[in-house]
This record gives sequence, C-alpha cells and structure tokens, in this order.
Amino acid sequence: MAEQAVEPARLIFMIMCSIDISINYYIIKYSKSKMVKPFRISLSTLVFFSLAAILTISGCSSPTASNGGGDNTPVILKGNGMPGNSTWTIMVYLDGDNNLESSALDDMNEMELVKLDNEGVNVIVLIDRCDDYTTADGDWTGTRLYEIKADNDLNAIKSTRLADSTYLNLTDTGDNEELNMGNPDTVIDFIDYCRDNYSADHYALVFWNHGGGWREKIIKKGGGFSFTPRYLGSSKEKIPGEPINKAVCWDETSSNDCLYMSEVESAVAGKGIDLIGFDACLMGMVEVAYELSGHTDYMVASEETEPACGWAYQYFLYNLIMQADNTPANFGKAIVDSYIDHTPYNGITLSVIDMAYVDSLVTAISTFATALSSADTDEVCSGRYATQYFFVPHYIDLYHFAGNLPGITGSGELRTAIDNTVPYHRQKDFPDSHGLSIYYPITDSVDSEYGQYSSAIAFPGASTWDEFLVDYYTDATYYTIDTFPNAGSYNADTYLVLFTENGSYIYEDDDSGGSSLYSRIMLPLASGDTYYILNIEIWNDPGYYSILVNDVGGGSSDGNPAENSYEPNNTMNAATLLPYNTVQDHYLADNDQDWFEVTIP
Amino acid sequence: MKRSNGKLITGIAPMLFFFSLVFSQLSCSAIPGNNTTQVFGLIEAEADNLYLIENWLSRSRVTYLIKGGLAKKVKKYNGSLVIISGTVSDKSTWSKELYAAKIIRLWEINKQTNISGAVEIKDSRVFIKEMLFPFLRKGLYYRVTGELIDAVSRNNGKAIEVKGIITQQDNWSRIVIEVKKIIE
Repeated sequence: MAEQAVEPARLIFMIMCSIDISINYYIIKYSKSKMVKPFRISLSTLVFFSLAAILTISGCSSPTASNGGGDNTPVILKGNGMPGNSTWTIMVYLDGDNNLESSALDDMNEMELVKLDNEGVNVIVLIDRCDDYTTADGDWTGTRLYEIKADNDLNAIKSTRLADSTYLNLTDTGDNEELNMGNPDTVIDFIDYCRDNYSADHYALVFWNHGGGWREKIIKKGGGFSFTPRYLGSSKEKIPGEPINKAVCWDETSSNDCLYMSEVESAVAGKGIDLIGFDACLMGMVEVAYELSGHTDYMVASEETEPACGWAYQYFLYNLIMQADNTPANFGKAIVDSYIDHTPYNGITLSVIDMAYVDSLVTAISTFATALSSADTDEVCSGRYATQYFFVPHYIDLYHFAGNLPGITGSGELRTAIDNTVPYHRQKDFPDSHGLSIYYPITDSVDSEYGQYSSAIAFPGASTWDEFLVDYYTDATYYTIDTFPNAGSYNADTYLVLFTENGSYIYEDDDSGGSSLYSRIMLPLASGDTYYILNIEIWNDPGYYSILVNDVGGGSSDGNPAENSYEPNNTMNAATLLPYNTVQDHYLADNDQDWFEVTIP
Repeated sequence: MKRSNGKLITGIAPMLFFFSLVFSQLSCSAIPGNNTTQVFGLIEAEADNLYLIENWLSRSRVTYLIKGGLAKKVKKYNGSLVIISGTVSDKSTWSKELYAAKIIRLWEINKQTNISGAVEIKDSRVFIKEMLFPFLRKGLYYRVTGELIDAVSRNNGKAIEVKGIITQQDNWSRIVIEVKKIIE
C-alpha cells in the first residue's frame, strides 16, 4: 500500500498532536479500568505540547485541554478545517446489546473525542444497549441513532440524537425503542438511512461486537424434528446440541439473534460500501472475505480475538480528517495502525483485505488444496500442527501453513496471492500471522460445526479446500492418547493437553476416556514426530492413573502404580519419556502436573 | 469434570459443609444442569450484580452472573482473579449463570500467595509460568521481582514453588510477584 502523502506543515502538526493524543489515549484507557488508578500527567506537560502544536502551525486549530484540567480530562481533537480529497460517511453498527455493553459506551465516547464538523466526515452510530451489565450513562436501554459530535465527557454520550421514521422507525426521544441487531434488515435500514441522509464520496460500515468467523445460518431441512432453539430468533434454526459461536453481532434482548455471514452478505450487497470493518474477534478469515467480495472494496478484520476496548476510534477518525489522501485503502491502514500502536496489550492482529484479489486468492487456494489432497498425510499433519493458530484453534494462518509446506505444489503462488490480497497487516506477539486465517479443524470430529462447513458458506463451493479436508481426515492415521485406571487404590481425575515438540498447543480433553475421570485425545499424528503431553491435576484430588499412546486405544495397567508423591516431570523440559504403545502408571499429586514425551514411530 | 466416585467423606465438618452447600443451592429456584465445572476469571461488581468475567481482557469475554449462597462471600473479592467451581447454565451465547459452590483459588492484590510453575527467562526478565486449570493455552505468567529474583532465575527451565506478594498491571494483563520465599 502506498504511503500517505502528507504536506510537511500538516505532518509537523500531526506529529505534535499525536504526542498529545498519545498521552490522552493512555489516560482514557487506564481510566476505564476500575482496577487501575488513573494515569496522571502534569498540567505543564499538557500545556507544553498544546502550545508547541499551536505555535508550530499558525492558523491551525489544535487539540485543547478543555476545562483547563490537564489531568484526567481528555482533549478534543480538532482538524485543520481543510477536508481531505474525499468526503466520508462512517456507519458504526454498535451492538452493545450483550455483555459488551460497557465497551460499546467506551468506544462511542472515544469517537466523540474528535471534532468532525466541517471536515467532510460524518460518523453515524446505531447503538443498542441491554438491561444488564452496566448502569452507566443513565442506564438507558433500547436502540438509538446518533451523529457523532465532539465532547470530552467519557462517561456520557452527548452526540446529536437522530430520529428516522423512514427506515429504522426510531425517535430521538424514546427510551426503550428496541431494534434487533441480529436481523439483517436492521443493517439494511441503517445503511439506507445513512446513504440517504449523509451522502458522501466514500462509505464505511463497521460491525461492532463479538465475532466468531465463518458460519452461516443453518436452515432446518424439513423432517419431523421439532426442536425449538432456546436462544435463537424464530428466523434461525440450529442443529440441536451444537454450539453457535461463529457469527457476528449478537443481540441478547432479541432472543440472542445474530448475524450469520450470509445475512451480512445480503445486507451489504449492492449498497456501494467502500470499506467494511469488523471491530470484532476472529473475522479476518478467507471465508468471510469471500462472502463479502464483490460487495465492498476493502475489509478490515482481525485473525485473532480483539481486546474488549477494540479499535482506537479517536485516532483513526483524527487521521481521516487530517489526511488529504483519504482513500479507502489509506483509511483502512489508519485503522490498523491506530489499533496496533495504541492498544496496550499484546496478542493482537489486524489487516486490510483488498477484495479485488479475493477471487485470485481462492483459485490459488484450490490449486494448493488439490495438491495437498495427494500429498503425504504425515507431512501435511506436521505442517498443520506447526502453523499459527488463533483463539479458536480450528482457525490457522493460511500464509504460515503454506510456508510450512514449501514442497507442495502451489505453496509459493498461494503466499504471493495472500500478499496481494493483504496489502497491510500488523500484529503484536503473533509473528506468524499474515492477515488471513482459514478453517482447518483439528479433526472432523472435534469441531461440532465441521458438518456445516461445506453447505453453510460460499467459499467451500468455490474452492477445493473442503475436499482437501475430507481427504485429509480420510487418509490420516489416527492415534489415541488414553488415560485409564491403574492398580492404585484411588484413581485420578485426568486432564490431557497435547503439544507439538515446540510447545505449540494442539488439543485438550477432560473426560472423553470415560467414568468422568479419564481422558482420550484421538487425532491424526505424524509418523516420526515428537509430541508432548501434559496431564494436569484439576480438583485438588490426587490419585493414580495409567497412560498409553498407540493407534488403537485401550490398554490396561501393568499393576505397578507409581510412588504416592510428586514425580520430577513437572515441566516440559523434564518430561517423562513415554515409549509408544507402552503403558505407564503414574500418580497425580495435589496441584501436580505430569509431562510426557512421545515419538510416533 | 469433577469425579462422581469420590472418597468416603467422614467427619462432621465436611458434612456440615456439604449440607450448607446443598441448602445454599436449594435457595435458588432451579439449578439447571448437574455438571460441576470451574471458571477462571475476574470478579466485577456492577450495581447489585456480581459477575465473573472469563477472558476479561477480550472481546470474546464470557460473563457469568454469580448466583447462589456463595455470591455474597465472593463480593468482597471484587477486582480479584478467582477460580470458582459451580454449575453453569446458559443465559445466552456470551452470558451465563454460575451457581457458585466453592472458591478454588484466589488472586488478591498485595496479598501473599503461593504459586508453582516453570521458571522462564525472557528479555532478561524472570517469569514463572503456571499451568492452571481451567487450562490456559499459554499458561499464566508472573513476572518475578524482589531480592530472590536471582535465586529464582537459577531455576530456569525447572519447576519451582514460591511464596510472594502479587500485584497486577493493566487490568490483570500483567501479574507481578515479589518472591519472599522459595519453597523447596
């Protein structure tokens, strides 16, 4: 992506202001924490930077420390009265109708820290709250429509409240007007309202809430089954017993309805949106990008979960009003930079996806997937487990995976295609993330949503990725890691965790071994590879157990329980060597953990 | 999962505890589900409600409304990390109710506590990495401070148990322990 072209005078001003906003950002972030004493800086420091900014650029307005407080009072960021080359309308679909209600208010208050008047930028927010979780800002509930106006009170929303009787049927005074944020019609109405009333050169739509990734709505296909989902709206049906966690924007007041990817796709289709952002977890997926390709030019999303505080709104909005070359690509880049630079936590990712390259990417994925289907499953298995995974361990970084299998046809071309599709990506503490993840469940049996993958979204139908997954699980050799009773008088309650040789997590299990005590992990493992197994004591309830790794499972104790004491295998470095297909008897002491090292023959 | 075939419980105190637990839970109109589990998270009081926030730093947080007789006792630990055992019922995808039975473990600021884990040195800083249950994939890291830091660092790569005072930064995103004693 091209660097932003910024005039020298504007650049100096931005640098000075950035220093000032940085200070205030940390004031804001730290003040939000109830457990942390608010960070304070001296009045003189604030005055110094503010004066410096004013003196540097005569004729430019500057951030001002309102109320003259200079301690906890944030500065309202003002532009220079010179709108960028394009006008923008930013539509924020702020779904706080769930346990993120408090964060929703925080982020809207961040938006209010930027003075947008006469800068060619409109920020329109549809915000929904719920009854529980926070009583802040008058504890109002329901859905409200706002145009963001500057205000430095971080505890109250003071933007201009809007009424709309054409699309959303919201008044500007009602207290309990409730819209279902999980209904795609609400998205459509919001977009139509904004486009009709806030015409601009460019439009961005931000989905704000929980996010889970690729899944689409499951339609029940006839039959006599009369299961009524407890928490889904009547328009949604689910497979009984299966978790629903792959979607975006849950609305707790509206029967926990949510937006599946096909609903997002149908809502934004033909709306002329230049950039779609997901200020939500885990949406930076190939499957999500493919669903939205053709409907927007850029997508901004994260492969990993996001912190509760989410995006740094005041920073990228300020960048937008200060930047002359405010193209959608540069706006996306500003969102990424502000998030990475000003989030006080590690373990974050954010990318700009250029949707024009998504079709080419899918073609490259298919070439690679077809080659994978005929490749040695041990090699693929090793590559899979060595790949960067995310909070949902069935999501892996596609670029890293391809890089772990350089000998597979299409690996290099796929990485090139990803480079083209992801013009900008940054991360903290995720060095092997490259901007797009893909669904690759650890086995077809451990992710209960795997059965819907090929029918739920468009991507599997457009690529051979799902065929590869089927081939892999058909061809791979499965191994079991079992715990079971041994000759001791009292049996342990085991909890197994499997790691690669490099300590990368693979999978865990509590009770699949039966009796509510024993564990079983059954997965494809690679011949010749070494794995580490952790058995952790979880109920302050010591006892004996046996452990066995082979390709058939089962086994029985050899009748020689270990000593009733701690063993020295309490760290990965001190793991007990566990020969393949050989039962070992051990004792799990109070707060104990036993590590094992096994090599698959 | 908690065992169902536990040892024979003898003695008055455990029985009293058992009955108090039963009656405290019967005070609720219903206890959905029968599986006892453990939840690790941050205690947060909001108005009259007390919540346990799992993944408290994350947008993917799960909020448990703490119910049952133990809730009043837990309230004084607002702002602390805890592991609580109990039964869980779904309220929605991201919100649940936890009928709290027992505080398994507690992390309080400026309180003395014992931790055990593997010593790791990263960027010249000494950490103890604790593998907890509920299992955290990357473990729970404590940055070691205090006069015994060199003694702790000599155990690099080994398991260790220490006693110390813990503090936290940035809403428990970083935990610091001033080690007072290394327990052999």
